[in-house]
Amino acid sequence: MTECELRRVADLGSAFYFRAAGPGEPTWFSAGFFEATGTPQPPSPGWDWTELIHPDDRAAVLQRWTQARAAGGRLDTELRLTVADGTARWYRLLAEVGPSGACDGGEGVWVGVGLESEQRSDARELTTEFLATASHELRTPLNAIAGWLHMLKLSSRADLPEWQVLSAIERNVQAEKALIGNLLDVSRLTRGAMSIVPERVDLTQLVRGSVANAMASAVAKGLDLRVEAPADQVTIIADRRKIEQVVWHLLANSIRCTSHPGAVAIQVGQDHARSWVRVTDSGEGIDATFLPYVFEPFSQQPRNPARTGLGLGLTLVRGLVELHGGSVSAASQGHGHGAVFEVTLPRAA
Amino acid sequence: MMQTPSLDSRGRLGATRRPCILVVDDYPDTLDVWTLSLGAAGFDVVTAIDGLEAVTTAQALVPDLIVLDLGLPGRSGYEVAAILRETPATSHIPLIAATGFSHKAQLERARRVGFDVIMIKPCDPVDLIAHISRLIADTTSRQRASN
Repeated sequence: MTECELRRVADLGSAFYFRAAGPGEPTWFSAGFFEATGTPQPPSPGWDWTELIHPDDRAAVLQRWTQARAAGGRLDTELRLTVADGTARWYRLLAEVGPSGACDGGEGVWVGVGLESEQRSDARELTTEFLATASHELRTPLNAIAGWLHMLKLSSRADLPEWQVLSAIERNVQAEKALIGNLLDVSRLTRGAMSIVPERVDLTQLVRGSVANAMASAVAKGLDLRVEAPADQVTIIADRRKIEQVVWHLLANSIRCTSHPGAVAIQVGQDHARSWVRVTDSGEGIDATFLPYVFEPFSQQPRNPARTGLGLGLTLVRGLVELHGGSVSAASQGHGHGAVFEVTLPRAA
Repeated sequence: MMQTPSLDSRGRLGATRRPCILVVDDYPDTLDVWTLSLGAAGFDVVTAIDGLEAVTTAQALVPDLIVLDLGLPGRSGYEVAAILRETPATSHIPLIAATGFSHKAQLERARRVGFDVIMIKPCDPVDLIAHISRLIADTTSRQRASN
């Protein structure tokens, strides 16, 4: 079939075909795309096709696209496009990045097809993505443990004390335990199977304890970590262990996303109706497109160089806070401008 | 201790040195422990923590073998492998993928981009060292045969 004939085929039916240098960088779309979306041909300079993706889907699609590059170079996702009459229509988007030698000049170029989709398969896709992420994350500390055990079995070395090997193994066992614990906690929250054991808790004292635990990791990164709290006691009725989890995850998240020379501050406060904990960092910040998704399970900012874990920490924060009748919010001025996370909890009577 | 023939300062074959292994992983503990275990097995180890650093280090040092994670920040292990395979100075370097990915499509893609061996974590260091030794010995034999 000639190129001309292939182009004619590509213009038949409701599917569209495309060629793109990367997410949001199209170099060619078949006529089906322009017809469906009502976009004039040729599009105006600076036109960004991803703006036609439904706002609720856009960040997730771009994130999956970026992840696809790392995970195997294939993208299979569903999204809604805003079509000519202003309504949203579901499409299944299949794309593959060209391996070296695939086509002349095709390396690094994505080619793909958008197929009109009647039904979504979010659950299936989420399961596949989750299993791939979980496999990678759960195997990583295990791999380090296997390596350190190997070192332990080798004849003793003066330059590698046994305590150093054992503490490395312990560190990775704790990392594995935390990953599995987070998974189970999110599962319990999702099923509504998590309950709280309320007691009177001094929030300032709790926060100071959490900061003391997080201080070593902040110091190791050369970060300034400080607490700001009022002189008056801030008391809440809450499950102490679960609020400790909340504060720990917020601190861990900010420390992970902040580089030297940077700062993380945690403030405690209250007014007549509520108590609050606010964590402010000078870290990498959150893109506006990703901000609405920071508390969603398994979500991680695509360009995050500190990408670690399952992406469940902030999901747990939201779940645990809501379990207490509170709320959590995130704010950021964008990349490079740090972030602020604020938890509010009902004030003790 | 494993040693490999190399060119001396006058370009003569025959000098011996410890083979140089580039280990690329974004998990610092993995880099630490593999540096120690491969060092104890007779290899010199250099490390890189992301895909971009992997490419520049590989092109600057031309190591005898590269152990490469697939899920890396910057450039993925697949991309790094494709770049190295296309560059004449690095195309001959044996590549081992050591990955937490276990999905069939991910492993198949690793084979397509030219990894010689694919190991799924947790990797037994004894197996890793055996694969490294075998691949370096194969490369050395080929070089001798071509000379």
